[in-house]
Amino acid sequence: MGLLGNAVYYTFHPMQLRSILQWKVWHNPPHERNEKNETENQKLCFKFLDKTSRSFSAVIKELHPELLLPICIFYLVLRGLDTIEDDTSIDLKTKEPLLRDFKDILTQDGWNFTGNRPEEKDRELLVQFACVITEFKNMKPEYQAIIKDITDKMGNGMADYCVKAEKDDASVKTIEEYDLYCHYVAGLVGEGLTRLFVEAQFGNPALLKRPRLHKSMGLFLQKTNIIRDIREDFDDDRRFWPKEIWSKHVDNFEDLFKPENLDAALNCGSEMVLNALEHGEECLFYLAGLREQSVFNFCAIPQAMAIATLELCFRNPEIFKRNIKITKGDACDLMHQSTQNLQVLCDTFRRLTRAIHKKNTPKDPNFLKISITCGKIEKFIETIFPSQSAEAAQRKATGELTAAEAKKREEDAENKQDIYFMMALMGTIVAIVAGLMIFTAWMMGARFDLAFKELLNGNFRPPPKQLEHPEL
Amino acid sequence: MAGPQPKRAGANTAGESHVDRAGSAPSVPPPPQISVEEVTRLVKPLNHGHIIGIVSKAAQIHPDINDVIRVMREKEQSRVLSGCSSDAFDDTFEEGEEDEDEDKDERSKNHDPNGLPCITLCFGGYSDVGYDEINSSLIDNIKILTMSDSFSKVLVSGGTGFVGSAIVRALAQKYPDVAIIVIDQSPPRPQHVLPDNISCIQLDITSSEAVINAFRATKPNVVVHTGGLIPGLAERFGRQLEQKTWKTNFEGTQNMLSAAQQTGVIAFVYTSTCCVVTDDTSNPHPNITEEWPSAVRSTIYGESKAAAEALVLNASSSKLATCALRPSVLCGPGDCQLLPPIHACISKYETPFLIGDGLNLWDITHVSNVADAHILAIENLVSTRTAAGESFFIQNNEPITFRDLCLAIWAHFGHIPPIELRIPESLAHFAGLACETVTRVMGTRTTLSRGTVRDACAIRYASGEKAKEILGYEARMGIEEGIRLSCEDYASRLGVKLPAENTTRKIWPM
Repeated sequence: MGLLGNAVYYTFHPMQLRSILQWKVWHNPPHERNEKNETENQKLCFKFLDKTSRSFSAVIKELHPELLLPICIFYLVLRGLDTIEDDTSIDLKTKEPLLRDFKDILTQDGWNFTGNRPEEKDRELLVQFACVITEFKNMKPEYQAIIKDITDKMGNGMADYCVKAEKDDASVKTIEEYDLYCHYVAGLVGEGLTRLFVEAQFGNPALLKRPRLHKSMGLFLQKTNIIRDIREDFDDDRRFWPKEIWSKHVDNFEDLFKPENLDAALNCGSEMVLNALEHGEECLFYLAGLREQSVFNFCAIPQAMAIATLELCFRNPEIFKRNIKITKGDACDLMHQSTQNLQVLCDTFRRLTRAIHKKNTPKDPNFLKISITCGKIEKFIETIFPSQSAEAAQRKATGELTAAEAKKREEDAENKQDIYFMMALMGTIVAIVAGLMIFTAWMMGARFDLAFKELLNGNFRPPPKQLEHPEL
Repeated sequence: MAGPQPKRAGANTAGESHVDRAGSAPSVPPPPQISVEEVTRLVKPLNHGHIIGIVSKAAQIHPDINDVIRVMREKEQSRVLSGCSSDAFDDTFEEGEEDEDEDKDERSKNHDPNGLPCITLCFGGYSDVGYDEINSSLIDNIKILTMSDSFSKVLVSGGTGFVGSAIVRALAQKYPDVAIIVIDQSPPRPQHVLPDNISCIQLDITSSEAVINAFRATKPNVVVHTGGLIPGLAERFGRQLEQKTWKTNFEGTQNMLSAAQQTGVIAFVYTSTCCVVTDDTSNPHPNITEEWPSAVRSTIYGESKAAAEALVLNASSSKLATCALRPSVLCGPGDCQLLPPIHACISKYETPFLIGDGLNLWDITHVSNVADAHILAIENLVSTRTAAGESFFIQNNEPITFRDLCLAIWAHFGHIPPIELRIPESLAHFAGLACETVTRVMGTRTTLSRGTVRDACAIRYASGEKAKEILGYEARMGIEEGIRLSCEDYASRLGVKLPAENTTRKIWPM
């Protein structure tokens, strides 16, 4: 969409433009990156961050200085790993050792990799990976240990997946496999970030004791992307939707994209959304355990984007035709809401959950399951932010009033008296005017006495006229 | 062998004093007695050559258990007594430790968190028998046996009704040795099936004389009071049945409670309702807890149940432990309150109309879950009694919107509304008022009223944490399955066949 197209679009969608301007003008980052104190190497790392991550880059840069660089490096390390894994031009014999040994590569000064195909968009990161290694080694040892551990697990997971892809087809069969794949590519990221937050004392240490929570954070994002990217992955000859789900609706995966199977495809898509939504409750639970504002923003923005994307994809035929995205205005609005506090985020979650709920239809085999899952998310939000409390209900039952309520009641009583006075005054005026009108009419010769007498006699209509001469 | 003999005698003496001390606890009843015959019967199936011990706790309760031990020892089936893990028997535990040291045998301990007596068996290290499974199975049998001893006779009022019959069926299935007596005003009904060996007494609980006579004749030690009057949909939000409802629900409960106190009943479970809180339709009730007060403005049903519940909970004492369960809206086999009115909307062409925003959440329960809750309450009141004097919301913990509930039910009967027409709640309110006026003038019945409008737009679900924590309640029947089974039951009662499930759906091979 060009400049003119944009102008036309925003003319008809002023709220979208308002959201964008609101975010650009009024957003106050909790922390801002100080570029003057950065080394050339660090600047290069942030340049790569900008290039490889359109969505996360801005949020990472608003992190607390303690975690800004560690998380930037963590992101780039995983992006490097992912770039190797994604490149189908690298043969397995070369790829597998790279993935499994990537954690050791992080300590090899000057290492780089030039084996990616030229079209691989993040190739340059690996060509200049030495700058990442340098900054990795400059970090606190505690952070290094965490990143190294996650890199090891993820590298092994990716290698296992590549080996499996080489032997038989790479498609996901069961929901368990689906969850495992998402765990390796996203759940582990959640684990690593959680350990970094706790190490920096920005998160509740109890988060480490509930691995399901940070695992859900990662899986929620990854599953959302898999659902949204169904067409793009299909065109690339990849499929991540588990066979256990789509085989209930169609015989072959390709059938999902045929127009005659639209109903089955929509039902299949909604079952995928249902599977992802089951993580929603745990995501909110996790976010309640974060203490620092920039860390909260960092975690909350992707989750809000994810549920908005799920709402967009739910029972939407377009996901099988093209890659659909949230509009920029909606994205800015979501970012604005996600950076306030947990309650505002919960309101957003509730609104989007209800929007999904609204589109649910009894034609869907999973109609009730979707309804139950939406209900559980709403109940969880009600648990942490009750709309009313037992104490308030007790007070109401006993008739006891708080100070504010007592004052409000007094004001209401005064207002009521004012209203009564106004009504009495109006009544008086009406009576006076009516009296004057009747008196004036009488003075001008109106025969009210005759009219009244006729009414008493029961004559409500004027008497019919009698013709004096029939022939006239 | 002369040496160990005095030690065992000492342990027995210490055990006896501990038993006495436990018996004098103010709120915990003394542990029930296990007869020698029962222990023998239970141990007999475990006729492995490697059984080497039996718990001394049983011996302390029954000194005659030594006869069993002697018989087993003569058959070379046991060698020594072993200790148990109960805190109340520390001395015995130490004694057991010494025995263990002497024989260097492995021992398995099973500790019942409710403090019920249990049997611990020891096995030699050379045994290949999975003693965990055997002990686990034995413990389960012991639990059921001691439970049966605790409440050998249960009286269920309202046992021929929807909820009462479900409780009776569940109770008979889990505790086949328990004698169950049903009292109800009406005889057993075909749609509410009762097990064969249940004795029924037909009486009206509003007659205190009839109730006390029934209690004296049957001498129950546990009472489940489910009997009550639920006004139908047409009368629910009016006051026409006020006197009758109050008489049955409150005075009937008063009679039951009085009779229970006079005849030595030890546990009383009252079936209350979530309506004691939620029928105040001027307020929404999202995620409420048991701390919420009873409704200030309520229906006659809610008022009578709230008064009866308060009566029951205040009567809880060391002699008679009471609790109240508050089931949410129920569905299940024999339901005549929830499904029939919703199903009737299909033939009346009312399904497209949606009152309000359609986002109000309800938590519907299947009746089998409520029956489970009653059994858990009985088990609690005859053992730890942590539930005494308490009320509990019982629900599925799967809230869904009222609109979705209706849509799911209609879908099971093959109907999907072609369109959806939204009616603002205020407009529906006036329509209800108009219908009430017409009804009052013409003297006819109508299903539409201000009360039904408020009811359809109400939010009503509870947190459910208290029942989970104290009773250990979990809904075994999910709401999706519950609705399906309820629709199938209602369809069979109507004599119609439900359309087959989506034929295009295939089952993933498991």
